Amino acid sequence: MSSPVWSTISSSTARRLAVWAAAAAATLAMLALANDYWLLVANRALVTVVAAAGLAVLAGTAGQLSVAQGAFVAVGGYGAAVAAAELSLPIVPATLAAMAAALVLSLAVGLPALRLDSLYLAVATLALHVALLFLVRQLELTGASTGMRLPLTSIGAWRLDDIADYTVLLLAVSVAVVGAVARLLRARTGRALAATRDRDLAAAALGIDVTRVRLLAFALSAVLGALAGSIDAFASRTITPDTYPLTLSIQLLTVVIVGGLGSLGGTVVAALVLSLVPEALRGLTSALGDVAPRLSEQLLAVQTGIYGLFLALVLVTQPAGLAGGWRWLRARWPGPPATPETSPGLASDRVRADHGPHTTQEGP
Amino acid sequence: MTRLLQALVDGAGNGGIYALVALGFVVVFRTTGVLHLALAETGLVGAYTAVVVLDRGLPLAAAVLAGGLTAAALGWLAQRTVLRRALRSDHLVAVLITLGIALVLRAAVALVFGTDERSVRTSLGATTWRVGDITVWELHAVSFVTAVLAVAATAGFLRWTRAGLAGRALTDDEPVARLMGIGAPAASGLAFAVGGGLAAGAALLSAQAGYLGLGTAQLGIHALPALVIGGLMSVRGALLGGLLVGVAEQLAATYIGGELVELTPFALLLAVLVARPAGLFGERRLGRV
Repeated sequence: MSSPVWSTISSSTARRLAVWAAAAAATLAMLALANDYWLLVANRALVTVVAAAGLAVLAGTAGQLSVAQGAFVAVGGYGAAVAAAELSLPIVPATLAAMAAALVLSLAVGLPALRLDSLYLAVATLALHVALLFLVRQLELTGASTGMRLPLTSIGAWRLDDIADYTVLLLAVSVAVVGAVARLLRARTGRALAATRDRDLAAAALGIDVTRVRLLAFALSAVLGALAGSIDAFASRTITPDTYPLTLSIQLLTVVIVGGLGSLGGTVVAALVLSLVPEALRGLTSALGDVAPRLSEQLLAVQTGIYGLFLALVLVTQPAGLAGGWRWLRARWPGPPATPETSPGLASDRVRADHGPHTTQEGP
Repeated sequence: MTRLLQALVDGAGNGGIYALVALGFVVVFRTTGVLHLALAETGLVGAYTAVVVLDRGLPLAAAVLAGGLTAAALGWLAQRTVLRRALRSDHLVAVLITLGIALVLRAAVALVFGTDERSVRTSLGATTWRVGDITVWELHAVSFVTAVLAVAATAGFLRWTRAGLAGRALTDDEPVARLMGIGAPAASGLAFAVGGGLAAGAALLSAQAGYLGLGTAQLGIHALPALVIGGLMSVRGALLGGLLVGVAEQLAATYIGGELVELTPFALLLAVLVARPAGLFGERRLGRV
């Protein structure tokens, strides 16, 4: 007989709370014990999480193949840098300004582009990135080819001086962003997005304004990309056109796909895992040092190659990405009955664990 | 006037190279419905192979053959192993796998050959003729003629051979074609192989201008606007699109100059898409409800 208190907390909520508590404990431990180098790695991973979350909404849920996320990250970085340099804005208003710029840009580009077939959208967004890089290289305002420096900044009384400060900030921001996006995806908007991906004609017949919904997804992804770019710029203190190469968009898309299109949780895990790839590679090359000198020379190319390998491997073995793999695992280990995932899309993939001796009593 | 003509001639030459790559894309896309993002990189591997053969002192013809075959084999292999399942089910996944392959190939090339550019000097790149006031590079002439021949051969193949007819049937209605016994996997493999060969040819020609390096894979980025302008499925469109992009680029370089030239293909793409959303020769596909 379950007690009245526990009966009001469903098993899934309890599990979720446990996961969050464990994550919080782990992060606190990390902050206390880690050195600057690993904090830098963590920062980079968290920036990727924010940018990828934005792309997850667009590519994963709305099904629009955008190769522009890197461009919006660049808008965030350069927007913040310009705001800090020309208007002496601290990080919060500078970030907001950069996000506003990204919003405007996404609407301007999205309105014509989103009507196109997804292939044309991909090419159009690629063109956007190319044009943006070109523009940034030309203008004195954005430091031309040499790039820009960002000043030390603060949020109110909290001075952001060390890497650890940014780690805390990024943790707070990424948790907030992921939570907000998750809520959005569960709500009506999220379902509308999924509907437009799966059957856009049917969605339109149901009264969903397909263009408006797609535009919303595009704008949201742009704004989140800019948020990531802005904080990253302040944390790194220097940005150049090379900070935002075309491959950045591809890397972000890889993260979303490896995580599993349509799964925000998968995207977050993939972002964290794939951010560790450069580190693993660096460790590997220093270990192999003399044996493969070429490896360390071509580190960047090999890094991108490993991304590609990951991408191809995941897609060949499990096209639904990490999320799909997770569902596959859950199907094979029947535990307590799983409450159906409330994430939209891929309804056919939902797993109902069998009701065996582990049935939990719910309700009074 | 001379400047204009010179720009047109040079542009046609470059355009021929873009057209070859675009044709590769078209061949693969028509047969499989997949945008082969690793095409340029496959061609790059072929070109490097050819250069290695050339280094051994073997004649140009042997090098070209070796390079073309290598790229073709690579394309065929990719289709057979990695892409097979995806081609049957989800085209988006297949496209993304090709992206992964592209990145892996780049890394492989960087590891084996380094990222420095190799100079490739053969007589092809150095010979010029004078026609009136204009200088015609032998390389440009060869590129243009090769592109036209390749397009004509492909169009002819599709039109007049049984295999070509089978290919067209697959493009029109794949399930029905397969029910009638047309082997899609074989056709796909061939398409990927042909695409690879074409890309290798393009990369080699491009290399004759002086050097071969990872940057040569940028051909893919230049060919994409050409592909889309021509219409994704049209063989003629590939030629016209390639030529248009080549000429537009050259005109921009002659009359405007500077870094703006890089944007020209995309600006042209935008202009064409606004007027004709399906490209010049493309057809608007009617989707299934």
